[in-house]
Parts: sequence; structure tokens; C-alpha cells
Amino acid sequence: MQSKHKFRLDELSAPVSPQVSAESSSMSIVDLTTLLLGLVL
Amino acid sequence: MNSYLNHFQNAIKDLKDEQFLTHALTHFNALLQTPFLIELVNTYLKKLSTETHFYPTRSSINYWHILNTDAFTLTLVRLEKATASKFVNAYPYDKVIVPLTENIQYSHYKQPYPFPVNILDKTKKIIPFAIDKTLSKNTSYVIKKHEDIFSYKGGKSDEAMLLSFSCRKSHSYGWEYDANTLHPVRLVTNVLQSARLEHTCKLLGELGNKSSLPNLFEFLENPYHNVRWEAARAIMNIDFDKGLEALLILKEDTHPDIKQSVDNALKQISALNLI
Repeated sequence: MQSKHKFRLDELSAPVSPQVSAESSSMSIVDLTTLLLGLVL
Repeated sequence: MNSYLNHFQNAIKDLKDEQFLTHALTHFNALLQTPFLIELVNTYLKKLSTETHFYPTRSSINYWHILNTDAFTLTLVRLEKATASKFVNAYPYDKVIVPLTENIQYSHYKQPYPFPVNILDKTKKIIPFAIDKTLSKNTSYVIKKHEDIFSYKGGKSDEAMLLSFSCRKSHSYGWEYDANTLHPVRLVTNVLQSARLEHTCKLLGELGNKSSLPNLFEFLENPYHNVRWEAARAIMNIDFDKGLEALLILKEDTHPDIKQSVDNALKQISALNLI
């Protein structure tokens, strides 16, 4: 039996991503600075 | 800021989103006929050379927000050829782009009706409209919200500079598609706050301290579904019994992806004999 303490919920089937720059990834830009600010607050 | 940009800002400051493709675009095209950018960059070059710690606000290596009003944003964007994307995006706001340094290659797709916009329908597929075309330098190209998808394919040089002018009041989602299958794969939100809340919930879950639980439970009622689900995941990471409680709270959630995720989780828990 799996331990209760190791049970993890899956991610949503359609994940939500932040738009991290003026253009989104269709223009191949992932702005790391903004993303990190988003992560660290 | 220079007199051309000042004039432009005053002209568009009271316009609404729905006036973007009419009034705002007219003012933008008039701005393009002026030397506003050359003047601006020259001014910044002087500042950079004289002020050691000068840093234009809202900028990074890839973009520079030249102008932000309540409704619109004007941005200089750097695009790298080497990172040609496997994904293409629709936007929840109108946008116009102008290549500034060279002609660029692009493909243009049409998006089928994407509503409700916060629920991804993976059976839908974008429709090729203009593939492998050339957009000439200094030419405006309009990308309509929820309808047009513009995919940058590179230019002659390793990187190109674009001017991007868009509405910014829309707090909504755009769908991101796989450029090969043309089916949607994820939602992209322009609400930075929801992304930050989601990541913060995740961080609390990974840190695993029970003192975070009351705070996380409050986020089960957040208006953004990705925040609600990440709060539940964090709670489950910290305490299984509390996680089960969170799942029961979200069992009748209004978002179908959450309902589905709760159902899947409860089935897994039952199959593993955890309760």
C-alpha cells in the first residue's frame, strides 16, 4: 500500500502558464527575469 | 519620453479597448511616421553612458516597455531566430506589430471559437491562413484578439527587433497550440497575479509546513481555477487528511478540469486503499 504521505495530486490536464513577456511563446520569448520575479515574488 | 511619444500618449490615453483597431491604430500609424524611436534610443544611450545605475523601467534583455497607459502598451521586443517556437498563441487582446530591423518570416493561423476562454477544448484545431509569408520591415500587422495567431519564423539575422502595440486591460486567457498538431495544449494567462499565487501555493506545498494550511485553504475559493487547484495540491503535499478535505470542497467546482481532477484523485486514492 502506498504511503498516505507520498500521495500527490496530478497537475490540471490543461495547465495555465503565465504570459511572461510582452510577446508570448509563439514569438519564442521566455523572459527569465519576469518569470523568476513571478516565482519569488 | 519625447514630444512625439507625449503627443501619442495624450491622443490615446482616454481610448477604450474597443477603439484599438480604429482610433488607437490611426494614432499609432501616425507615430510610426515620426523619428520617435531614434530620438528615444539616443536619449537612453546618453543616460546609459552618464548614469552608471540607469535602468529603464519595465525592461529586460528581451523587451522594453516604452509606454504604458491604463489601456495600452507600446513595447520594443527582441526576437531570436534560434528559439523558433514549437508553440503558437492566441491573445486575449488586440495587437499590432512592426518589424523594425529587417523583413521577417511568419505564419498566420485562425483560431476557432475559443469560448469559454478559461476552459481548453483539446478537440479544437487552428486553421492555417497564411503560411511561410514575409512581413516587410516597417510594415504594421494587426493580430485580432481570440481570432488571429501569429507565429514568428525568423528573419535573415539571428535576431530581429519588433515594435508591439497592444491593449492591456483585458484580464483573460489565450490558448497555446502545438505548432505541429495544431491542437491546443495549455492556457496562457495575462493575469500575472494568478500565476504568482499559483507558484506561491506550490512553494508552500513543497516547504511542507502545517502552519501554511489555514492560508492555503482560503485559496480554494480563489476566482482563478489554477490557483484553487494548486492550493489543493499544496494542502495534499502537507497533510493527506487535510488534502482529502480540500478535494471534497472542490468536488463540485465550477471548472470542469478541477471536477475531473478531483474525480481522478478520489479514484486513485480509493484504488490505493488510502482511505
